[in-house]
Parts: sequence; C-alpha cells; structure tokens
Amino acid sequence: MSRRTIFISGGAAIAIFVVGLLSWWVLAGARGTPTPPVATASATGSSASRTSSPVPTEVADAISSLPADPAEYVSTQSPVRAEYGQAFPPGTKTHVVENSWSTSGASQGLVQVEISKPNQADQTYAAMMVLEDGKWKVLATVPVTR
Amino acid sequence: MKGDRARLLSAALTVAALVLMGVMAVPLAAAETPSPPAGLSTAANFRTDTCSQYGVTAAPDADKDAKGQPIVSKPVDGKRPVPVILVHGWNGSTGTFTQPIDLFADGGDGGDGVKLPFSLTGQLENIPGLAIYNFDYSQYSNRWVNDSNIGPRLASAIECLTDFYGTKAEIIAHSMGGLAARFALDQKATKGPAIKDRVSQVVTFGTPNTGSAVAALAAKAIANGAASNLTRPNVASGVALAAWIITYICGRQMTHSTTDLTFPCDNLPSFITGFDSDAGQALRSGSPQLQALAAWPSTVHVTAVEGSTMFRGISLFGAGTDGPGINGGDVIVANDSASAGSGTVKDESCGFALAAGADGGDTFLQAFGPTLGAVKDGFIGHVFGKTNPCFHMNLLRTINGTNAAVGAVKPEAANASPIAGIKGTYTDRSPSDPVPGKRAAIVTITSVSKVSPSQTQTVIISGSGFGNQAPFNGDFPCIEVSDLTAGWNAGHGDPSYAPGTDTGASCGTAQESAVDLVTIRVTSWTDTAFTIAGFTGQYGNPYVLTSGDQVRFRVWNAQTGAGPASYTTTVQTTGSPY
Repeated sequence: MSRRTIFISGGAAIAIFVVGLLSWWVLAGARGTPTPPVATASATGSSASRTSSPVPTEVADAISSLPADPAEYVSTQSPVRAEYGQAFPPGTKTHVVENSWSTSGASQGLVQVEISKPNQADQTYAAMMVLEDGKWKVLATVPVTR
Repeated sequence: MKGDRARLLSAALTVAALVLMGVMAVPLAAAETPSPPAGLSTAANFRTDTCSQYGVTAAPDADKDAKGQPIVSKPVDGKRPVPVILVHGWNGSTGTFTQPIDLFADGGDGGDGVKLPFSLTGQLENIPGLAIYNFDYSQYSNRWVNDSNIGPRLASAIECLTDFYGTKAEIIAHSMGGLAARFALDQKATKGPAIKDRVSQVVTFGTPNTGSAVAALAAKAIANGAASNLTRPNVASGVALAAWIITYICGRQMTHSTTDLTFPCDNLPSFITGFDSDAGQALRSGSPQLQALAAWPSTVHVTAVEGSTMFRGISLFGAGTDGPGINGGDVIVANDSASAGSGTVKDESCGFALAAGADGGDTFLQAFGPTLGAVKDGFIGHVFGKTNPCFHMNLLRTINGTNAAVGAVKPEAANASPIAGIKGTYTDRSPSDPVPGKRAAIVTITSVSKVSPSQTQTVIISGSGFGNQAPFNGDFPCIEVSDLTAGWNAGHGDPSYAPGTDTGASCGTAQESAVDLVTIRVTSWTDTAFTIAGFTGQYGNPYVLTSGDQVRFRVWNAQTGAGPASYTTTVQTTGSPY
C-alpha cells in the first residue's frame, strides 16, 4: 500500500468520522431538546368531531350538473387553472358518494365524488365545496387515497 | 438486494448532506466566544434608554455562546453604532425575535424542527456595531397602525435613536410591524430630517402590504356562515384555497370562541381570529385603511421575506395539475402582498401534498414535507401548524429567512449611513472602558489663550463639543487643569461625591470622585469655548504656576461626558505667580 493510498484512506476515514460526529451532534441535540408540538390525538380535535353525513340535495344537484355546465358550478375563486374540456370531456358522469358530506359552518364542505370519464378509469375525488352567490360550487379537488 | 443497498447508501448520503447543510447554514460566529477582536470596544453602554419613552428598549441578550455566556452587543471603537429596531406583528410580542431558529424551508424539515441555540436577536447582537432595540406595542392590541401608540410612536422612536447615534436606523419587522414601519416612514420629525431620511433599509417578514386575503375571506366565512363566502373577485387564488382549509378546520372553533382555540388553530394570527378588531378589519385586502397607507419610500431599500406554501395534489377532477403546485403564500399573506414595494425578495418555499382519506374529512389534510416524505397520520392542520417553515407565524424561525435579514443589515454596521444635519450625541465612552484617544474625536480643543504665571488671569479655551455649563467657582467633573511640571491638578472633581456612594458625576475616570484642592473660577462655558478667570481654593505655594511649566487642559462634554479633549501649553514668562 503506497503512502499516497494510506494518506487518502486516512483522509476518508477522518471525513467519515467528522460527518458521523456532526450527525450525532445534530441528531442528539434535536432529541435532547424540546421539539415543537406535533400532531397528536388532540391535533385532530377540530375535525375528529366532524362526522360524515348525508349529502345535501343542493350539493348533489350541483355535482351532477357540473360536467354539463362547469362555468356555473366551479367557483370563481378556484385556484386551479384547468381546461373544462379536460376536466369534463363529453360523456363524463359524476356521482356523489352517499353519506360523504362533512362541513364546517354552513357555507363550505367536503364531499366525495366518483367521476367517470370516457376511456379512463373511474376516479374518486374529495371536492371542496363553497356556497357562492347562493349556489354550491367546487373550489378544487384532491384525490382520495385508499 | 443491490437496489436496497443503493437506496440505503443514497439515504445515508442525503441525511449527511442535510446535516452538513444545516450546520453550515448557521453562522458559525454565533458559537464563538465573545472575546472582542482588536479595535472592538467592550463598552456596554452603547445602547441607550433615553428613547424608552417611545417604546424602544434594548433587546435582551437572547443567546449564549459556547461557554454559556450571553452574546452581548458590542460597539466598534471609532465608529458610530447603527440602531436596528425590531418591530413585532399584530398581537405579537418582542418574543417574536428571540424564538429559536429551528426550521428549514424547502421541505428539509419535514415537520420535526431541529432546535438550534440561536435566535434572530442573538444573530444580530453578534454583529459588532449594531445596537439592537425592540419596539413594543403589544399592550395596544386591536388598534390600527395610525394609533398614536403604534405608527406615530415608532416614528418618534426612530427620531430619538437617530438623533442619539447620528446614523440611519434599520428596521426588521414581522407582519403588521412592517405596516407600522410604513406609517412611521411617512411622518415628519419634530425637527430635522424626515423619518424616511433617517432609515436606510427595512426587512419585512410576511408583511401584508396589500392586505391579507385570508383575513378577509376567513373572517367573512366565519362571521356569516349561512351566507355566501369567497365572493371577492381577483384575490390570489392560492390564498382562497388556504382560507378554505383554515375555515374548514378551524371554523367551528372560531365561531364559538376566538380566544380558546386548540392546536393547530391556536397558531393563527389574531387578525383572523379577532377579525372584528380595528386591525382585523384594516388588514383585509382592499380595506380603506390599507389604501390610505403610504407606500414604501423610494429611498429606503426593502427586503421582503415571504413564505410560499405550495399545495400539491390539487386539481379539478384530475385536470390542471401541472406545475409545482398552487401557491398559498405563507397561508395568511399572499406573495404579491408580502413583496409589494420591496427591492429584494427572499422566498421560503415548502411543499405540502394534500390528499383525502377514504373516510372523507377526518383525514382530509395529510400534509408532509416532500423530502423526508412519509405521510404522518394525524398531521391535520400541519400547513398552519408550528412546524411549517413557510407559515406566516414561523418565518422568523427559518434559517434562510433569518440569514437574509442578517445579511441585509450587516453591511451598515461597517459602513453606517450618516444623516444630513444630525451629528448625534453618542460617544463610545464607558466608565469601565477608557479609550481616551477615541473620545477626543468627539470633543476638540483647538486653541488655548496665553497662560500666565498668575493666580488671577483670563484663559480662554476654544474648540467644540464642550456642552453647556453655568459659571462656577470650585471643582467640576468635566474640566481638569494640570501643572505637569510641578505635579498638581486643579478644578477637577465632583464636589457632590460622598464616600461610600456612587452618585458622583460621570466625567473623567474613577478619580473624578476626588476633588482638587486648587479650584478654578469659570465665568462662562459654552459648547465652543469657556473662560477661566483664575485659580481659587488652595492655590499657593507649592501649588503655583511657574514660567516654563507645562500645563495640560482636559475637557469633557458637560452633558454627555464625551471626551476628554486634551491640550498642553507652556506658562509664559511674564507675570507674577500670585
């Protein structure tokens, strides 16, 4: 083993030791000091009491009308920049999942929607609903994970 | 197997890199001992309490060094300090700036903060030449920035501190504190340059320059749950989403009480929870109060630290999902509001994936940092919890954000901006830190008239910075006449000094507590000249002036104690020693 090899090996060992030491220092420090509160059972308190309930007729009607008239049933405040033709190609059908309505206050809620698009697999989304100008409208959706 | 090993190695290297980045991101100077480098004064009195009547007080020594000693602000000899004023946000406190810096943005944190023993206050106090102050208006909650106790008072504080130091101030503000600064910068001073000409730059953290759309939307939704909400046009779209999430999670709590909220809703700023207050209404986007607020002055550089909470997984039934996500700002303030009028923007970005569990709303929000990745069950509300680095209330805990603030204000410490027409009354003099050569720069003797070997004579000392003093006959702490040849002093001392007390005047060194037996009669004393009309007290043999003696005059400013200036001359050959 040449002197150069020994030198390089020694350097690498020192570097690994230093990284390990720093890792231990930071991680030990993180463990040894109080960390900000993380979500626990109490963290879900605000929504734990929120239980799903039958979907209001007005909400169900809005969802069923959505593919045919998205401009009317998508909120003007929607953050999603989407082509309606892509979201609701001709032949799209929607169906609300029974008893999937949850709400906080009388002007917003979350409902699960099964959507069938031609030549695509059916998908389930949670739709964020807002009561806007007297009509229930979709603000945005997120996929439902199973 | 080979793939598993590769992934393990990759993960290990990633952790090592993150650890190294985290360590390197923290200014190492903070961990060093406070031993002052050469040229650095140890004077501890360079932060004044003379402006406390305007709500500014010296910031606490928040951090400690590696030896457990407090990191204390220090001046630099021969240079005037730069006052830095920390202005907290609405219903905040000065504690905003002493929070530990423990959050990494860009998803590196992943929700579990790594607590480091540094705060923004401590980082600033570690920069020699910066005098750190807190402006505290916490007791005047629920008032708008034009209240006499907020914006106007901050203006007075700026005027007072800049009058004292003679250098432009720097401001670091959180949230509505930035609006208080905007108001203050639009004010005139009671005398001298306007307030905007006394400030070099401002650093803001999440200041809602054009208001908080969330405040508007959330307040409306909560206050009028049966009516329509989200009807305001042209608000930032991502903020509408943030408002929906807030009201979905916290709406019920906030409807019943705005003071008894539980996690994570207890972390919401009061201008949302207290939306009926003056400030809560004024902070809503488009409010007349905001429209009446002056813009940032063009002469003041503004650095804006903003949060970008990127919501991922949002679509319209699968459409419109391109891009990095939907930007919800710092959840309370949209980016365009936080950065309006600023010259430099530092963005903190954090990604959060939103997904809904099969049971609907109960697990609606499963937000997690993308880098360290696993979904943490029960992390509902994480987006505006205490561990989102990009959340409005947490920006001052981020390494990148606080480093941006430190980097912005630091150059002024070495090259302070003077204020036209303001000399300042500050001196780096400290009883425990005699630096005579530096004091002389403040008080100057330009000439001394002829000194004769006589008890009664007129000696005029001319110069600048003497302050003002009534005529006297006796000793005075701010003057000393010394016959260096014969070895006696005259006129220096504090006649009011009582042994065992510490009530003596402040000029000179510790010897000032003694009094000279030879006294002097001063018939006039102005800032530019004073006249000695002769020697009194025990003047006489052996305490007499003799031709050819070297006589030194030392003078301190009669008000500030600055100095001394020193001037040595020779006793003339004419005249009688008596």
